[in-house]
Amino acid sequence: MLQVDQIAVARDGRTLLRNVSVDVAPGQILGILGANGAGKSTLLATLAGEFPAASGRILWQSKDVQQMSTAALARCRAVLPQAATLAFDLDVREVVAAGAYPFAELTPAAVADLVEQALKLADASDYAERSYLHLSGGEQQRVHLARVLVQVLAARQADEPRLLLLDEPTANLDPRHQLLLLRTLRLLADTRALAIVVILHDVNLAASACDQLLLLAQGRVVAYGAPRAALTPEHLQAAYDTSARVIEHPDTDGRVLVLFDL
Amino acid sequence: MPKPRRTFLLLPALTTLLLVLLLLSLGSGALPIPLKQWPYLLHPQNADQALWQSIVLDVRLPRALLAILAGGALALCGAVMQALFRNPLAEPGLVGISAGGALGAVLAIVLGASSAWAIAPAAFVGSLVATAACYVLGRRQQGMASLLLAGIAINALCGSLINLLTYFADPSQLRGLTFWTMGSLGGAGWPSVAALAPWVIGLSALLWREWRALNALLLGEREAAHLGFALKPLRRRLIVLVALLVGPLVAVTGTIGFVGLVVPHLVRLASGAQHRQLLPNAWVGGAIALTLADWLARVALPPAELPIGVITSLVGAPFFLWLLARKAR
Repeated sequence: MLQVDQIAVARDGRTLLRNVSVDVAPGQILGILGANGAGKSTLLATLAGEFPAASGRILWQSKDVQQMSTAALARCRAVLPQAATLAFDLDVREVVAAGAYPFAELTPAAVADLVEQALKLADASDYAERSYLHLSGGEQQRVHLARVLVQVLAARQADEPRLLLLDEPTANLDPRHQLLLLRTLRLLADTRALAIVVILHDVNLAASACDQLLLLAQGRVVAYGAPRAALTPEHLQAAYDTSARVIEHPDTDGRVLVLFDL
Repeated sequence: MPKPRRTFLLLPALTTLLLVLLLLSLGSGALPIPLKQWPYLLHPQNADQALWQSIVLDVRLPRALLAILAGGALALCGAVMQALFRNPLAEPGLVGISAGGALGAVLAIVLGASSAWAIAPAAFVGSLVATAACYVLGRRQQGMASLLLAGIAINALCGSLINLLTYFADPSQLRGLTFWTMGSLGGAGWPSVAALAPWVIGLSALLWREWRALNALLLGEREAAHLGFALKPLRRRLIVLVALLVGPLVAVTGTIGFVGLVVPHLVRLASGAQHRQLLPNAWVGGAIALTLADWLARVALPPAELPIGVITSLVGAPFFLWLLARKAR
């Protein structure tokens, strides 16, 4: 599992995160919420091992992420970036197959098989024959989703846990594909022993899909826990500086619904 | 729209074209060799045929092979640099390899060196020093932008130093200087080709093995790191390989522009940017381009021979513009 213990992150003399601690077990989805500039992407990049924490520890399967090599990290976690451009055009399948690059031992047939699986899971099979730069933003997003799915599904022992980090994966997606994406994440967490950390902006989507929520404001933890406990009017006020009402979900027992007041 | 690409046919097609051009190039020049005389080149029956044999084997063949090696290496390195910098304008000369090589050669000539055995090492050292300077100055910041800016500055510095030295050169040195700054395959001989061939082929193979990293770089520097390619060691490895590959060629041929810039784009139009195919296709494509340029340089105004660097730009630039215009329509 992923254990984040009291990390602080500073860049160029500014403290971007302080005292953040979370645990994510395989099969769990942690949602990160917060206003723009709250430190969500910084936290995700730090978890990905992109830059060091000033203090604290990040452990994945009891191994220190900051001591792991770039190549070793690529074999146990995948990161879906907020926006990815392509310098030169590639076919969709070539982009998706890049997810298998950390696993040079795979045969071409095994990679092709993974690519088809991932395209199906990301609902991107329809345009698998096309070239990446001719796709819309939302379609490109799903191609990258398929790519990171290849990376977390490749070369695994049965039940070997993997970490999946997603930075605003729903940003360019229509409502149907937002729901489809979160349903896919749920399915993968439940059936493939994935630990998932996902940055979301839609509070209600996060409440319905995540096991735990982390609310950040100005680099500090406002709330951390199950959606019901994390989403209170006080926490939402602190995180978004906007008043909100939290009501019982009319259809689903135990779920809450957040209404922001303008 | 789905467009099935028969990319696997491209490499055999390009290779066939290269072989045809090689024969054409061997047969033509200031002294054309009639087609029906070709069978006698291996077993000459008279004095004419013996002369032809000597021209083909001792002069044209090493020169044609140098064109193939240099063109292949330049285009391959161009494709690598374009992926590394994520920039369609990148080429091997961007990190100072060509300009540094020319500066080293020009410096040697102005200081009195006249034989290729003194000038070529000076050029090689110049290209390595310029590339190392770019790398050291450009690695201070993350990302490729600072390396790009360092490369532009070093190129400008080398260019102005070359101009300064040219200004002070005496007339007998000037001719040697233009050889370097405009490029020429005239220095080809069996010793240099025999030394360069295994070097170029070996380093090209090492670069080809990096196709996964280059594809990952197309996605972005962060994405490449997420896929397991640490940027700093990768950048160092690629630049060292490119410098070692192009440096000795620049030392023998001088500066040959445009092949490293244009050929990768032409090949991408045909086979896409997937580096596993792009790199070998670009290699053969570059070999074709330089073989063709060398042939034009020798047959355009016989018996005079034009500098090959002039031909590559003179023919390459309008051709490239035509292709871009056609693609845009």
